[in-house]
Amino acid sequence: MIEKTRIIKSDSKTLTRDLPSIRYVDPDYVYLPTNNARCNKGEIYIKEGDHVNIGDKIGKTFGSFFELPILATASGEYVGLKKMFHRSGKLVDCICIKNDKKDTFAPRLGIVPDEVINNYTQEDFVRITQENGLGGLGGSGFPTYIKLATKEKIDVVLANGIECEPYLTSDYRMMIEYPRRIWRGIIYVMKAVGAKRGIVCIKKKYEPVFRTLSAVMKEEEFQGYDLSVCNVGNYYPQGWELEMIKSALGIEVPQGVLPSKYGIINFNVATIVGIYKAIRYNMPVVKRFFTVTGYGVKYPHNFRIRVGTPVKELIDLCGGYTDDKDKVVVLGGPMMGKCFVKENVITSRTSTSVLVFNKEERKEEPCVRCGSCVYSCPAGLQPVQIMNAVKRKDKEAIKKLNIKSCVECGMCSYTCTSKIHVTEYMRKAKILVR
Amino acid sequence: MNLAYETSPYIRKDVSVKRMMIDVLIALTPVTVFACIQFKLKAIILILISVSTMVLTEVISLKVQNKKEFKNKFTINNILAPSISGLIFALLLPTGASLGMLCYATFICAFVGIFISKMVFGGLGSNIFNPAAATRIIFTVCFSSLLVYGVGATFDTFAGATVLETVKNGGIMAYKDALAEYSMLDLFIGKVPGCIGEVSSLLILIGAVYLFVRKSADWRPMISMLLSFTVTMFFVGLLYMGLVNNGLNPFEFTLFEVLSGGLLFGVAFMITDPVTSPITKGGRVLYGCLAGCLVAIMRLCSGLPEGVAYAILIVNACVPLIDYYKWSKSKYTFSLFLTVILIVASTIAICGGAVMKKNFNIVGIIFLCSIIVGLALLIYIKRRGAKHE
Repeated sequence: MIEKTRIIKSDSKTLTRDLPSIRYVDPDYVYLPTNNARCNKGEIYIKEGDHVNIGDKIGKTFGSFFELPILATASGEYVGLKKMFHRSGKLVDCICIKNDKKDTFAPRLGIVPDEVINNYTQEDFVRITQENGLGGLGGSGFPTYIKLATKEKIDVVLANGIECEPYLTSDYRMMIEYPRRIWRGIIYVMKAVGAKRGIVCIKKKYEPVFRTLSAVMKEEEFQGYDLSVCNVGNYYPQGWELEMIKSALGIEVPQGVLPSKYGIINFNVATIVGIYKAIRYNMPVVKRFFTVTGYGVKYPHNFRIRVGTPVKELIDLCGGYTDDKDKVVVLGGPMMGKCFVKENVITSRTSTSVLVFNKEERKEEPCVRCGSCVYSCPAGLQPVQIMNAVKRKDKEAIKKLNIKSCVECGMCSYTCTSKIHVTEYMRKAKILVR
Repeated sequence: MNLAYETSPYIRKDVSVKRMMIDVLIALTPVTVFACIQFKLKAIILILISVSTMVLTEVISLKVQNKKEFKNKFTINNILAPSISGLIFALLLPTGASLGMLCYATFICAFVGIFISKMVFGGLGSNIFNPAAATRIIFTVCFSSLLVYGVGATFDTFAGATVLETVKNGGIMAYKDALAEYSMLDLFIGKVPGCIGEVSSLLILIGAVYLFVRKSADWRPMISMLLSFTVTMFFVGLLYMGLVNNGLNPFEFTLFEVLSGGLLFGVAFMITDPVTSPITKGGRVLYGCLAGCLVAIMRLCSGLPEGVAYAILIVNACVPLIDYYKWSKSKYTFSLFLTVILIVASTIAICGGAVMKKNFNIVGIIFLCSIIVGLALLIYIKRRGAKHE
């Protein structure tokens, strides 16, 4: 309809929201990608037959301006490279480790005493997060150590627990089940960048999370820090960092400017927990919360999985597909996730969930210029104009219409009254002017 | 079982063009029922002819245009859209002439109108001009002898000129004569001669509110058209009262102008057609404002008694200009606000000058000066904006 769409009406979160997570950390094989969306090159330090421990440095990936180590997430034997699909949608070489299920740790892992942590400088925090290969776990995969190494004066640490896409509940469960880890992680980040305040942003309707986090915040170990929980809007894309900063602090950060220029540093809550584990135990991201949901699987559920578990195993754990109709398997959220047609997909640290939908037939009708996409675009673009420019291959118009600030949130397709796949035209436009 | 390939997003909002169109049909229902009660068989026959002609023309030309892909291209919207256009066109028809002539004229105009204004451009979603308005213009131009307005069966009044024609012939003060004959309440509920659908302001407003509540039409062009028209009329009335004849009550005059003629019908059902309107918020405000001002100019300055259909066609032609990518913005801007004010001010100057004739000097000079100052300001802002970029 001709209106601004902000809220995605859906009761999809109730599928898994109240289900406690199941621990599933013993797959027979673990697959670790040698490159990913941000790093297009990688190298391996081990050879076939080698035994690896959890936390062993077994390779390295190179990004455009950074490098991160590949760390083993399971102990066992390295059995060779195998081609698997990664979250980025590419078929990549994966290091395949045969899990011996003994969980032996590398010697450098272990509890670091508080006294040592208290004496850490910013360089130490940066070094440890880099050694443990931390990247944004909400999906971006942006290396954490670069964010932490900021030279700007930081006032506020924002933890993004909004999870604005429908269906996804992994961050929700994590905040309910391990609230202390989040506060501890935030305190570490505050120490690292010298920030005064730490805020967790959650949706207004997440009342149980609010109560849990507030109750834990009052415990003794968190006294003396300026911590708070901020209720922000229920709409989509509230989880976009610029929208979150605007709602939580009232600061409008322009697109293309780093929030650190405004004294803000923001992380996903899963990344915060990753930082906590890295600092406290000197441990990389070995396990993460993961949701298998959608109306195409029999028993949707939340899991705590070992990073590198094949997706097929998780779907089978949920009872498999509901019926024999065509399915759409998506890694990530329903608005921005990536679709897979093969079942040899692996979970990585940056993947939060697998969704299985029943295939729906959609018929595109001619555009009636209702303007819903223009009203709904969170970046303030005019998707229908860009679509028409793509159809007539007008590069000048596409540039002038500012396609580069499109975040591909999917709102234009979602809200289209004619069921036109507008977002796909946005991608074509980006390719045209690249 | 297969895994199908799609690209994100994988979910869609539960909306459709079909629902939007059905909503417009529902919003038109009270007006249509009133017309059928008022004008009995004549209205029913005209509506049926108009709707069926338009639907058949659209389906046949779609078939001719896409011989093999017809099955893929044909949807329920190819029936709903022309039936809306047909219904609106029928509701804009006068009933004074003989039924035979009217049926003939309706058939010819409906066929030619939808073919020229819609199917030639590529059918649903591609038309530049509002089919109903274009068809109505063809009717006015080709069959002007049939523009005799009948009056409803339930009201005991004589057929003849509409209230606006009375005003057109007798000058601006003649609205008092019209009001002596028909009260304001008559105008509101539709007890006056006029086109079969546009006489009852009350039922049109009900339809407009329904469209607004269901969000099937945008309120921005509606409100801006109504407001710009009202403001223009009020100020013209005020100037006339102050400078020429203090017998004119500007409030009464404005209300009379708003309630009479096809203005409200155009506001509710014609300016809201999404296909022919701009796509941005600001563009839609500007579009409605232009339409409202044009209606005012046509009523007060032209030889026509009223010109909602003309006004809508002219602003339809301006839409590509409003939507041009170099200046269309998805948010409201200050220069848009200034443009709207400039348009309204110049309309008041034009209309005021036309109405007052002799006393144009003072008003004209004041308004022209203000327009020049406004334009200079606008250019200055644009220049400064360009420098910032």
